[in-house]
Amino acid sequence: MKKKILYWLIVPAGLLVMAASYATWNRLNPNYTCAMCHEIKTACAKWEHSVHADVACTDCHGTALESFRSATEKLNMVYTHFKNKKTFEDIHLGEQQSLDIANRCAECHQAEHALWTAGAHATTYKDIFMDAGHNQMERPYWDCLRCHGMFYDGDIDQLMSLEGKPEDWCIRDAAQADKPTITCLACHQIHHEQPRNIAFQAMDEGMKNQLAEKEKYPPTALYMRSDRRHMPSTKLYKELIFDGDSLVKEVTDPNTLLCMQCHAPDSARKLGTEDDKTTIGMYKDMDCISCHDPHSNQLKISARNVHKNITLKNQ
Amino acid sequence: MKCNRRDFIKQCAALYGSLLLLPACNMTGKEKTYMSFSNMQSDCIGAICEQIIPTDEYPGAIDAGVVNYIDKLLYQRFPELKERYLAGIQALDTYCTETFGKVFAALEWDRQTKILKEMEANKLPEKYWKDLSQGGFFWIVRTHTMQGFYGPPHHGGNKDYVSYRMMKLDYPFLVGQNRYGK
Repeated sequence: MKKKILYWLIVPAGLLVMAASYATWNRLNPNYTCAMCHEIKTACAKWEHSVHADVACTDCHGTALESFRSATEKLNMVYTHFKNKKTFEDIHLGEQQSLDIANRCAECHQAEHALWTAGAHATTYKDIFMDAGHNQMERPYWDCLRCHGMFYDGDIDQLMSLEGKPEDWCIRDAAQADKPTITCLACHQIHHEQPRNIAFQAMDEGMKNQLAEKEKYPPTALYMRSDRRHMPSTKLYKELIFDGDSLVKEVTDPNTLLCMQCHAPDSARKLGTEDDKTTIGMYKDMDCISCHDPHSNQLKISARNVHKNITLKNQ
Repeated sequence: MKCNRRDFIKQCAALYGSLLLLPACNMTGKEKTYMSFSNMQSDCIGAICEQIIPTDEYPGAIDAGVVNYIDKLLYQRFPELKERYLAGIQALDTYCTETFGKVFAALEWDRQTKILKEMEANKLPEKYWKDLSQGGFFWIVRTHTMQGFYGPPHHGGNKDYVSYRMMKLDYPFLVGQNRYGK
């Protein structure tokens, strides 16, 4: 009898301790848990210096007990950690993970998410790859995924059945059709090294000046499908645009360079070719987000921004 | 070893209590950063790499993650080279400490340059390099430094494609929709 009572006490107490330990483990500073001996040390160091330093790892990455998929994903990570010699550079996000993270971004960045949802960048696989008119003009190929579906886990033949006439082409997996192709992580790097959010009043003079210069260091980065990694937009190659043999513009604004990666001219950088949207004439010195909302791509804020820019330039 | 239930529960409770106290250990900044090197060893390798590719208007070898590249190389691909690296670092730091009273990474820039030139020409005192060719060690670090700085970033170096920018390499290649039918 005494033994039975003891077991009835020990088992729930043990379970309670396990649950408490698990919860504590998940909320602790990763420097004292996973990152002590883990390949994510570099990611943790970046996160600590990022604007998201106040957000706990589990708020974005979830926990193993969140869902069956999450449990298998985390178990796979543990297996890979012990079985293979992996380092930070070998860790990549799959498409579902990038979508999960985008959903978590939306929990805080609701206004940006709403604008993105209403804009052209929320386009789906169906919109892009089932466009009969475009398919008549050009057969979808691997490089389409560079801008549309950069996190897609397969290649174009896995995404689409391209047999027969263009009107017979279709997306193989119906569940894929409605997924967005350009999500938050296409242009943002979560662990991007950015100054942490500090209240304006708490800033010293240097930090306030730095804030005024913020536009020069936008929190954007290009996700390069070929390399499966981000490149900060401030580090993108400065582009020269030509009209015939004449140099018409040197593009240096980081956000414009980011937009240009997909809204690009031909390989000779000829003005107005392919998807080029380079501004010339009286708009020459303006960058993309002077007129376009960066999330919805819409022009409705153009008057305010354009006039602000003109005013600044005239001062 | 025999362990009764009471002892087992006591030991479990003690272990759990210890784990809860783990965060109290202030280890930030002191922990090992690399898989193959201690912090002191990575400082030495970093100093050699920085001498080979110094910082100018572009980041040098350290900021480009070359030490990370070498660490990854020794950890994943060529663990057999680790011993050679550690022996080289040990020999160099011993020589510098006995001769100048500081480890290699703590020496002045010009002195570091002079030492590496001598090392490349096998002119450092032989007594520190009995089991390893000093010129050979320099050669292997130089080779790996170049690989780390100029190679693709997924190998651990060339952080944010710094060498591509330095060489004015058009990357990522900018090209619009390639409509062949046009």
